[in-house]
Amino acid sequence: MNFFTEIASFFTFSEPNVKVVFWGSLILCSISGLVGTFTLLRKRSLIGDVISHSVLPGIALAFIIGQQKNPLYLIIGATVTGWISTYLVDYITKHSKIKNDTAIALILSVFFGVGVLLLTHIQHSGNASQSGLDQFIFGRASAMNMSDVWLFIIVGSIITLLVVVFFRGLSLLSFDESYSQSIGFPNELLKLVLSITTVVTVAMGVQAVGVVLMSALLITPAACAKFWTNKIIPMAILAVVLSGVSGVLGSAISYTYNGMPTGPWIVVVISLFAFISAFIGSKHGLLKKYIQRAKNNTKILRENTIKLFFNPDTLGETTFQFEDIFEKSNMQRGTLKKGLKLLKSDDLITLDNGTYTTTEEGINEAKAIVRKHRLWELYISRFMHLQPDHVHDDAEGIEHVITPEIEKELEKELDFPTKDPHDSDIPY
Amino acid sequence: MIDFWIILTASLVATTTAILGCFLIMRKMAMIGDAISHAVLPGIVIAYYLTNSRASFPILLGAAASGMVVTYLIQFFNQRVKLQQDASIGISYTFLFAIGIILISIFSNDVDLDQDCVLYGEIAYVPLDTLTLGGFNVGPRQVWILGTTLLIIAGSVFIGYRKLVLTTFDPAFAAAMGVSVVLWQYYLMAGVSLATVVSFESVGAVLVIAFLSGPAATAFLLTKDFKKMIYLAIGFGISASIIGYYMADWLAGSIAGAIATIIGVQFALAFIYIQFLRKSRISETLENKVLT
Amino acid sequence: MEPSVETHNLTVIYDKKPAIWNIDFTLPTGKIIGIMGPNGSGKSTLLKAIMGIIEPNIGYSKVFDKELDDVRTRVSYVPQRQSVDWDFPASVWDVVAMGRFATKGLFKRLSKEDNDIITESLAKVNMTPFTNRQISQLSGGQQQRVFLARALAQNADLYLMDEPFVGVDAATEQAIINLLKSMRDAGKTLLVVHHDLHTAQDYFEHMVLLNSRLVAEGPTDEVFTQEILTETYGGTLTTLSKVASALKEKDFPMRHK
Repeated sequence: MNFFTEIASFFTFSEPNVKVVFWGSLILCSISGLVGTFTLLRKRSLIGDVISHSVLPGIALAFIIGQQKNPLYLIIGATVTGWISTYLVDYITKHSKIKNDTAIALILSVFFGVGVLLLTHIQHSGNASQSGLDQFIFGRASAMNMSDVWLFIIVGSIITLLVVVFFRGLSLLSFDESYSQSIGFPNELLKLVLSITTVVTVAMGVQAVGVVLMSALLITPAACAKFWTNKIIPMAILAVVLSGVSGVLGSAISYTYNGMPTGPWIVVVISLFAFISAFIGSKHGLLKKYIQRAKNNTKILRENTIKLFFNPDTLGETTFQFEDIFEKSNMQRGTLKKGLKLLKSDDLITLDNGTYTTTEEGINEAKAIVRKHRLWELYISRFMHLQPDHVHDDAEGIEHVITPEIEKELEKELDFPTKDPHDSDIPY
Repeated sequence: MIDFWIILTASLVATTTAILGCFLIMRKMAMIGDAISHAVLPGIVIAYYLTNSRASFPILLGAAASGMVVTYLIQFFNQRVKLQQDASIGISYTFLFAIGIILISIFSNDVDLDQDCVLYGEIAYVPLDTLTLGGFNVGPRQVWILGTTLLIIAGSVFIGYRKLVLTTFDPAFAAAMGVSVVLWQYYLMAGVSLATVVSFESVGAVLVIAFLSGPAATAFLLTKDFKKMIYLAIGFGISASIIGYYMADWLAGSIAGAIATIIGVQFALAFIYIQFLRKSRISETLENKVLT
Repeated sequence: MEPSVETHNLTVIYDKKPAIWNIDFTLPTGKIIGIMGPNGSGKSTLLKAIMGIIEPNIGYSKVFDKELDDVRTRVSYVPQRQSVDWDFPASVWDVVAMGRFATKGLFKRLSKEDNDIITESLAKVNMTPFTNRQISQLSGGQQQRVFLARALAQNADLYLMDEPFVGVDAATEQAIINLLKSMRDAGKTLLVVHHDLHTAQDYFEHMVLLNSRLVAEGPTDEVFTQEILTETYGGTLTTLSKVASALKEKDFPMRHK
């Protein structure tokens, strides 16, 4: 297919610039994934947003002062305003009645506004070397060159080194700040390290994804990783890998289709990873949920159907025609048919000439579920002080979730009872 | 004359957003405004592309659809798969915004939207795009649209004022009185969506946040009465529009950017003033304690 | 005499586990009734479910033998103090005036009669000198009194209060309980979520003891026994918590078709 061959040709590195773009995006995005893990864990995702928007005036100022597009100067400028913005957000929140989210929205938009003002001023002042400054708004990985990449490698290594060295402190700070405070970890230093690494990461990363979408690069890979694991080392590694892959894929796509900015494509790729992870991954993954629910429904249907075959007089075998059992139940026709099918395939009932009869196993199942039902009724009538006419509905639901262990507990608590609140026998 | 139209446009945006912003910041919803303003982009672009016109109604629909998608996504991440709220908001709106930018790029031949201007608007062009009714040039289209929006928002806030204040200050008490807290929450979000969409062309997605949060925050610092806060916010918004316009003229830069800068300056001044007041009050009380 | 509040099978589920479970009781009128239990036992949830702030997942409640919506003007709710942002730009008067919105609806202007009621309510809680004070400048005790004044301004018959004595100085606490007693003497019913066992017997004539489930309900001297208190405060029933965990883990519905 045309699309795939085009993308594939990106990876053959046939054009010299491709190598630069590849490595540049890979390194920038991977570092963001690493640093973003801590940002996410500390619930400071929005601060990442502030920093991203606030680097713009720094970049513009650095250009105005330095009169050239030297990447080092620009990164320094970005770092300065980026850092000032986080400081201001915290300062304003602490020293006035302005709430945190308001401070964030305010600083983010005002700094960005200043940046836009300066940038447009530069554009209109006709300085020749200013062309392409606006790549910082949306990111243009294709505008990177080899010296940029070397800068990323050096700075990126320093950041990685810092993170590795301070890993234990940073992890604890992220998971439980008050505990880490109580055992005397140098929290202020750690926060400073994190702050600076985040700001520098953003300052560099905006070249690939631009200021507006940079915050996505901090949040989304880490959130994606969080769907798979709760342990910090795998989380960080996964975030780095996913982020790096998105960086490469995103720039491949935008490179192939000239004129498309890289930032949005990188964000789309990593967001798709996040959606997939949300669906499949871990505890709260939707797939798992749906499977569990299906299992639950099968169990409930099975038990509700066999319950209908319970014989309160003989505690033994029962025989029914379909219509009889349908009348007895309050299920839909289709549901009942499904239930009977289930029972039959589990050998709990036999079907002979339109008549359903319980097997030995079926009898026991029926007794078991009725037992659980009545035990629970007794339990809640006693311990929740409920009237006898209020206990049935609850038991209808809870009877299915009573495990053998819980059943034993119930028997013990109720002292091996024989009658339920309606004075019916509890079958054994 | 052009000056006047531009300043008027900005003032209309400023007034509408100042009113909404006062409620937003008291409800700690400032960042939701940010999310909505970014998330409406793909809807707007698709509407532009499909209708091939700048007519407002399809744009509004597109934005509404987009807004619903982002709300759904945030709920999905936050409630269904239990992701923390700040991340749920972040993932959702950046994803939609990214799609919006890509669409602009893809449709660049058919859609007259500039990526940069999506962020900070093109208010300078507003006076050129005039509306003709019955053969008469009645002024810039944007002014009519913004004016109508202001009337709708201001009118509905006036009518629902007590309910809005009640649900903002004490939602539990409001619910106990039978007021639907959810309804008024949605009303505000709809209002913010409307305001951001109609402000897109003039001030863009990011700077509308400055309008929403800045003047309201400045007013909040300076007053103890909510009604006064709204009036003050409007005042700050309009004055920022005027000063910002002339500053942009002087610097040959983006007007919206300049207004946002002034909004920041207003806040900084108010903040410093409050700090100064506090310190002098403290030293006053200390003085009193020492003297007695 | 109609009961003040009754509940049937009242159950609220948070995060797949029941916060309150099968609460069944009928409460009398004209008494100060205490709702007590350990942290997390669902006391606030119970009040909110009765007030309709939270929809119960299972069961229902009635006020004065009717649906809440039919008698809302007769019921007043005093939320926990920390549920409100006291930085909101409003004066003491503004907050108490909210109490009149219940009867005045949300559009009609406040009449002289309304203003008199507000002034009176402020006087009853000794907050008259603070009438125009900004609420952020109030102490904890003063804030609580403002809340009370608002409730009084509603002129209701049933008052539901969530932890009115938390973070309040001793003098204020005394003043509040005296006010409640005089309200009771005037025939009002008060349902108060409380946290302090030491004062429970003095304050309440009737009690509801909660630990996610109803442990006991009745006149104070009947339910305030060692046995019942141990059952209330001595940890959750193992079986019940095991069932709750099983429900959560397996994502089981508590009711199904």
